[in-house]
Amino acid sequence: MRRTSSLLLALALALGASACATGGGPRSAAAAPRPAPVSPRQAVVSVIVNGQDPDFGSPWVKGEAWQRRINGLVVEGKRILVHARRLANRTLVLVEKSGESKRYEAEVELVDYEVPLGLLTVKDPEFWEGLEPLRIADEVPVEGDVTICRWLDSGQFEEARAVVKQLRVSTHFPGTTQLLTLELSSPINASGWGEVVVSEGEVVGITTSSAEDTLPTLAAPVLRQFLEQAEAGTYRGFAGHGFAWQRLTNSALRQRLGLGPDEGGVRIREVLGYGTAAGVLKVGDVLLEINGHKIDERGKFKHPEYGRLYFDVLFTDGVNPGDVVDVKVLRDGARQDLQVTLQANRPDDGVVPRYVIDQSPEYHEVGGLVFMPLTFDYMRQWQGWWENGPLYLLVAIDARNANPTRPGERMVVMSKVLPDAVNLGYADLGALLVSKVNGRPILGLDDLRAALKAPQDGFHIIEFDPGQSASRLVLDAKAAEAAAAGIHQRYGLPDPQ
Amino acid sequence: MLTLALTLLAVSAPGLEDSVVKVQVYSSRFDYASPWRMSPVHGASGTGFLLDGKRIVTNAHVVRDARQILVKRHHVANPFVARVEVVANDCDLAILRVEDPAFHEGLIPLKIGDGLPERKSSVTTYGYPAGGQELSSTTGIVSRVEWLTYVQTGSDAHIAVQTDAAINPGNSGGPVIQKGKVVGVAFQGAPHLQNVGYFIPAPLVRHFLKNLEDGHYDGFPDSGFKTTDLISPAYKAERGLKPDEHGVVVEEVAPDGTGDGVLKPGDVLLAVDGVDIADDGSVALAGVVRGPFSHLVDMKQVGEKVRFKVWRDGKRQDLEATARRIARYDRFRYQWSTPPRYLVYSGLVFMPLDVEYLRTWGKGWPGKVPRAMTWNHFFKESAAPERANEETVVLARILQHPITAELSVGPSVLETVDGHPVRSLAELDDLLTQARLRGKGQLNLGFADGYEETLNLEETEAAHPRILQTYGVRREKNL
Repeated sequence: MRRTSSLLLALALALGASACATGGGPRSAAAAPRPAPVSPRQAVVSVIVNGQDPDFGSPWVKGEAWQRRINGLVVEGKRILVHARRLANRTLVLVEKSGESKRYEAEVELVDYEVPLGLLTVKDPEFWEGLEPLRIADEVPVEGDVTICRWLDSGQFEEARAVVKQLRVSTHFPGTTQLLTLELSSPINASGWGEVVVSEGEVVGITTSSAEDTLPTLAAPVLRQFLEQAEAGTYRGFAGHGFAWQRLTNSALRQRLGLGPDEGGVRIREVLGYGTAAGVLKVGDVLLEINGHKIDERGKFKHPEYGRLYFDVLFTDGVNPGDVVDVKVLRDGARQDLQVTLQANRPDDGVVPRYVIDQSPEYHEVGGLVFMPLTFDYMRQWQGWWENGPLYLLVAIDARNANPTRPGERMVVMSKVLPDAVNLGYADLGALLVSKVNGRPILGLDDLRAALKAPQDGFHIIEFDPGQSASRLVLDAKAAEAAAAGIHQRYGLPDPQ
Repeated sequence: MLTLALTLLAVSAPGLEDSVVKVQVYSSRFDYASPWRMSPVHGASGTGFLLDGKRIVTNAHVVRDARQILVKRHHVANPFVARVEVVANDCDLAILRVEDPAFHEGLIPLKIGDGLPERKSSVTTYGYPAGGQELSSTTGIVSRVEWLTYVQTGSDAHIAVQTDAAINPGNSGGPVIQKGKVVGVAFQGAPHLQNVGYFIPAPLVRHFLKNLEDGHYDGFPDSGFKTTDLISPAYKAERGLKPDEHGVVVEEVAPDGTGDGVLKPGDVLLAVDGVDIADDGSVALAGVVRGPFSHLVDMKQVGEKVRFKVWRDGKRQDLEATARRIARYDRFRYQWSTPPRYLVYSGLVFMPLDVEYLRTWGKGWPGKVPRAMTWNHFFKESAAPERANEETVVLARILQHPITAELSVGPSVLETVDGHPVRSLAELDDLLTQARLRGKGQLNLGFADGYEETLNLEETEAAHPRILQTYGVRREKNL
């Protein structure tokens, strides 16, 4: 059933020494002798995650505590591999095995929300009795039946049939990494909670969500790559390419760019100010080849096993951050061979962090005015925020996110006003993007804190980006200081240290 | 008892009821998704009343997109054909004319009152609610005077009077009578409130009529500046004002508005035309009725002088401005009766970015459209005042043809043609005309978000007439 991955060979040849180390090492582990067949019951465990999400509306309090049951896969080295979305903001992780009601405490050894996958350990040796790792497949089927394995709340083990619809390249919330994804079709209810997908006795994927009867599933090669990085002890994450592109199906445009009719290629239309492409690729470049794979005019390449896939996966499949990828571009009419060094996707590389997980939201309060860095989580207070959030903030995110003027730059919003005599007249203001405080430009909460140390003639002057519902407000600096204790008490804020 | 007394009063005013007419309208709306097309004809009715000079006053929204207008007198069987003489969408008023002298026989023009009616005073509405044949009248009281968005354009706000006298569809355009005079024109309700109707008060009707005296309607002026109230004692102290001095702070001044070149951000506006402004921005309008100071500018005719008293640099200053109307704000107004502006070339449909195009994206469009459109529509003026008067042109849709089917770009803001910035639909037309005169070579289009497309002129010149024919585009442009 297993074949040598010719993709891997091609990669190893193209990448030279450094790539051989990453590409060759893990895969040779995969070639180890195959263990005796293991029943999925022995390899799938039930994971009960308790957590408490922050409240971005009142960042000093925590929201309701919650509990969710997901599935975990026992892997080599007494570890449990889980879909990580539900590990976010956890307070306690417990595991159950074999449908028994005894629960064991688990620790999170590694979590990467960009995939999203996590690795759990359980200290109690008793837990591991009777459990066996299930082998993760080298390749995944692109059609036919597979089995979805999971523990139900009732303690029953369910093996449900599912059909592979297609193999494609997709991201998995909250991550933005473009990864090999199996799309399954299955009628089973309440799925998409990290169920283990098995085919011919091997794991082919872990589900990450569900929509209608479709289950996006992280494909086995992604699981392997995650585990291999984890085993090596130097987990580096997964990369992104860091640009936006347009297809080149318009023949007149191809002609103008000097592209042959069969040359394929996509045009780069935006380059992020950070990440893999920054400083190497330019707007207007036509991307022709990646590691020797020809990119067609719609952005797909021919994967040796899986057929035509979007090229984005060439920046993740079998390659890790730090690796060098060869890129052939057409620039100003000339074909050039370039190299990019893969940079890991991080949620906070842009000006607006895509998520803030496992940490309390930052805020700063003065005179009842609450300031926060603008984050996607902040925006999620508005249902369907991408369309329904405050319009100016949506436009500002679009305009500024990709190009921080300095690392760690943030936009700061005055998120709300806690009504008090000291801020009389401002109670209805909120969700305003701050431009300056006391005359100083604000590119982060630290800037704001520093600026508040320098009031102007006894006043704090807060200025907002023009075009919003308010442009400026003024606080009496001394009065704000005097009002602090009262405001904190009345609205339940902790006193600052 | 009060109702009875007023009914008797109305009956005792001879001819008043005869002067209230039913306006029957057959309308057809332009389809902004396919701007060369019209939607099916639709019938609706409203109310109008006779004014001196053989004019019939009604709401602009009664005759929106009208193709045929019939006016029916009370208790006269046959309708008369009417035409629109002037439409003022910004205050939802219109003047109709009936040429047939028979129509005017025995009709007494109604008189427009002065000022605002007092709160709690009785008013009677006359009209044809729900289209009925018989004139209906109901009496209620004046609940309050509000600053209200007029839904006809969705963008203009003026004062309006709220009443509990029933104002239902069909009442629109009907007179609201007090002591035998028209104190307002019924025009809209409040969707989520019961027993709430609004009428356009007499001062606005008079403003409209006065503006028409030169035979041309110029519209209401725009104050063109944004203020924030001075409720905050800290803000007031920072501006250097004493607690017993009142006004509002000027925050942004729009190019070409009434405040342009006169007011500055940071000024405290103390009074308009000698009327003092309170810290919440309100002024005394009539008796105990208060309203926003904007009303004082609103009541000016374009070109009239406005006096501002401001607190600037630690002293009071008297400034004089000229009331101006900002033409570019038409893009925020719903458009009625006027054909959409567009340009089709080789299947690419270009339109100016305005609220009518944006509405084709459906409810919630501000967050649904490409962000570049949102920015250009709402925020460009504040972020780049020097570009305020540039008209944004969008690629609105693509009519599918082998040449256009393979384009990568979708609906988007068009930024450049052959490297030249596109700053209006007319400029795009010029650039395209020049290119089409060349007839060969390439045409390069640059869009927002870094998209580029190229057209081969020989191909597009050949395809253009065929695409127009295939899709039934009768006019290739309306600039």
